[in-house]
Amino acid sequence: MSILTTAPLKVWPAAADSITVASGAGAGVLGAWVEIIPAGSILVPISIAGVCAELFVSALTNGQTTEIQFGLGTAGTEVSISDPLIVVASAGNLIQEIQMFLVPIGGIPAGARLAMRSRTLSGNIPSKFALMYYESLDEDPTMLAHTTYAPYSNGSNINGASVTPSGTAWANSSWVEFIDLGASSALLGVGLSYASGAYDGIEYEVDLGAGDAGSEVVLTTLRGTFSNIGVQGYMDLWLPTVFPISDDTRIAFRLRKAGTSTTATTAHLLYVYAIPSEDIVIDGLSMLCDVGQLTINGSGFTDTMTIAVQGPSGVLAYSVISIAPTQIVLGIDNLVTGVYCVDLSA
Amino acid sequence: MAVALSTTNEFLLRDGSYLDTTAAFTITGWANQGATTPTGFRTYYNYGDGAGSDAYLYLGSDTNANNLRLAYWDGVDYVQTATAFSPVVGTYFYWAMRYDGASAFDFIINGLVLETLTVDLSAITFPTTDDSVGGSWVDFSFALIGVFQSHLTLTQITAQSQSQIPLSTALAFTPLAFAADLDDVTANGEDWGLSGTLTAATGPSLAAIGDYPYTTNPLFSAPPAASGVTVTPNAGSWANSAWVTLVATTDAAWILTGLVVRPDNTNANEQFEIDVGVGAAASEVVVTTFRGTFLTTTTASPGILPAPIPLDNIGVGVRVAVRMRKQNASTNTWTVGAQYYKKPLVGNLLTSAKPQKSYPSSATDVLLTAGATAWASSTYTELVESTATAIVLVGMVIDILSLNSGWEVDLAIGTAGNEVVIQTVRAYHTGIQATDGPNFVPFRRPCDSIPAASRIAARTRSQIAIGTRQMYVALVYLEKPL
Repeated sequence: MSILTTAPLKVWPAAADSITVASGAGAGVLGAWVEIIPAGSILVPISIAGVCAELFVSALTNGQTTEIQFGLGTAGTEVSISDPLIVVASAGNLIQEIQMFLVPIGGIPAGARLAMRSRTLSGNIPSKFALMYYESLDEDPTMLAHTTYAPYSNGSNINGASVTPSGTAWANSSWVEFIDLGASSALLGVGLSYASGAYDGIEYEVDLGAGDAGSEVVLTTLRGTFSNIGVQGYMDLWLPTVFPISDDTRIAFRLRKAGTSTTATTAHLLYVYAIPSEDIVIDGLSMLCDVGQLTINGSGFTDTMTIAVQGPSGVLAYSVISIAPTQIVLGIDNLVTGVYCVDLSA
Repeated sequence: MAVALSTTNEFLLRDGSYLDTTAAFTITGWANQGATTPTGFRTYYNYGDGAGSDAYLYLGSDTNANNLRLAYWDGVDYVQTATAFSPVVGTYFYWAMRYDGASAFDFIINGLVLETLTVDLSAITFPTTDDSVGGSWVDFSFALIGVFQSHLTLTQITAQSQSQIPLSTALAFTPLAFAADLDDVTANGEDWGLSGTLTAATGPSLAAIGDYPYTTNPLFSAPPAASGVTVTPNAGSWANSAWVTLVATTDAAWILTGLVVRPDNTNANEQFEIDVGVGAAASEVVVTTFRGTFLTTTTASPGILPAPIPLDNIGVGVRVAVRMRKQNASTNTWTVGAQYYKKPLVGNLLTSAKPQKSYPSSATDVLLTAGATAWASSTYTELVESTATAIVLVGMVIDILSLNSGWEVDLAIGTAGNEVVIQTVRAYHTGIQATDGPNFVPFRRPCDSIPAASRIAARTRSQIAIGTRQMYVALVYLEKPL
């Protein structure tokens, strides 16, 4: 596929104030889902190209990141489509207010209700967000429909994995483990927080590596700069394009920079992973298992049908994302490998 | 999923008589070189007599060297490629030995023919017909070795590199995925025999994520492990600085993916352009241009200036330099670094030899009018009267002066009064703080909706309708055809 597109870039909400999405009440706690796009508002599939964030900075510690998550479904039954979260910005002097994702987040069907929730290290932060999106983007059907962003979060520390720089200019830090990535994953980049003024006006490089502890091999190197005095915040360094990982691979990173400060900072890994899907056709019906979604294609569907879903662990709760005469899309949390059965009755 | 031999003189061996060397064939595989310089030869693949007495075809290193060549020995003459590939330690490469059945024996790395040896293999007798991997030096890992009795195209070879099964009819295909995995997955049973111990190794990264653009090449930084090169701006508005050497000589052809810029940290409203050029001092030729704006001095942005369509127009062995020009008269120094891939590129990343250009060029961003009321659209301001060619829009520089407020900017094409919106970008101005990068918003999916002779205009909307409200914009684009 080509990355070139003739699909127009659009904004939601259009010509209106951004939408407030408060983080949860505690450190790293997700807030309530907030409706961003009401059901039935967009009549074609969309892909989220980026966000514009207006952070409630007075309540955030400098360098503290804000993470968001998108979900589909009716109010109270939202199912995440970007699991776990996307780091969008931080408080401080360095706010990445416009965040254009390296890979647009697709798989949002026509008519779907889109919701968002957020978390921060401080609780109850009412920041505001607007989206930029494409309609009917010519997406890669095997990747984008089954892909989620998953920035690494270091346990309860949502500010990421901590790294202590070398005290020698441009000498490598020790390797710090991010995560073991599974097959069919792809690196997108790395995000670095600067919670202190210790890195004022310096440049840096981050190596992403693979391999067992002590045997890491550099996969790629990203360069950035803290361009001014007092700079504190967070910055995503995106790769030019995705870097596929085919095997189970331990991913680690190391930092080197100008200057001699050994003040620790934190980093997030940005990556996507594909979830295998099977499209099985039985008696004219096909069922497609996606990230948080089960799609049934067929004919004669109505919104008055009774639906029951049976999964590997028994009867499953679901939300109805959309019902059209030829397609039903259900949202189901925590889909796992196994056999699913959907009963449809008029 | 790959394997490696454990100690010196271990090897894989099988009877290779299944291969007809008088007809077209292609042999392919992945390999990843170890760090230690061989004592002897690092043999990635050998057909014929592995002992070297009788004729053989060889893909491996020179004696006591870390390079890689294609060669043959016909019993009288030893002929090798003049070109030696230099594997990067720890980075997988995909090799291929390809013969057209007549006279062309190709040395192929990562989908590119590095050199062709002219030889009629039907004139060579191979008394021994063994296939082998390893031998005198073994510190490399390898996987997915395929033997095809056909002349695969480069497209087929690239596609094969991403598959764990043969995509064309194969005589033999051995995944070599784990320590005990010596089996040929075709029905021909051309399994490997093992002399020594085979261990599991980290394998190559395959594109298991569909056909989304990707690469497994490592990204490099220039200057590496050092601050950017220092550029002293010209005091004249939009006058060029002197060229500053970024790299004296490239050690490979580059795919330039972006710049990392640190401003002078002294002056506000720094609208700027940076040219990247190649050539000797005083003979530089501009190959691309980046544009951005640093809005404030008390806070600043990280200086990331990506090229959404990376530049493929910097060769090997050339000097790369940068120069800048900007709006105001400050001559405080800036620093500039770069990010790039080394060719050949594994993957399907869209690149272009065309330079990035900007509207306006070497001039101040265009001031747009503001709407009369909150979220009311302004009138359109013409940015481009008529594009010289069809263009691909790769990003936009947005510079907002206002109180804290949300903004939208529509880009449209069409005659005055008939504009059609093709892109809308949302931004927010905090009044005190900077935005993403040097106020450059990259279009990760570049806009391919602007034909030749298009008039481009823009209009704004904002959350507030009080005070001084100004948005300045510039466009960054490539001319088609890419």
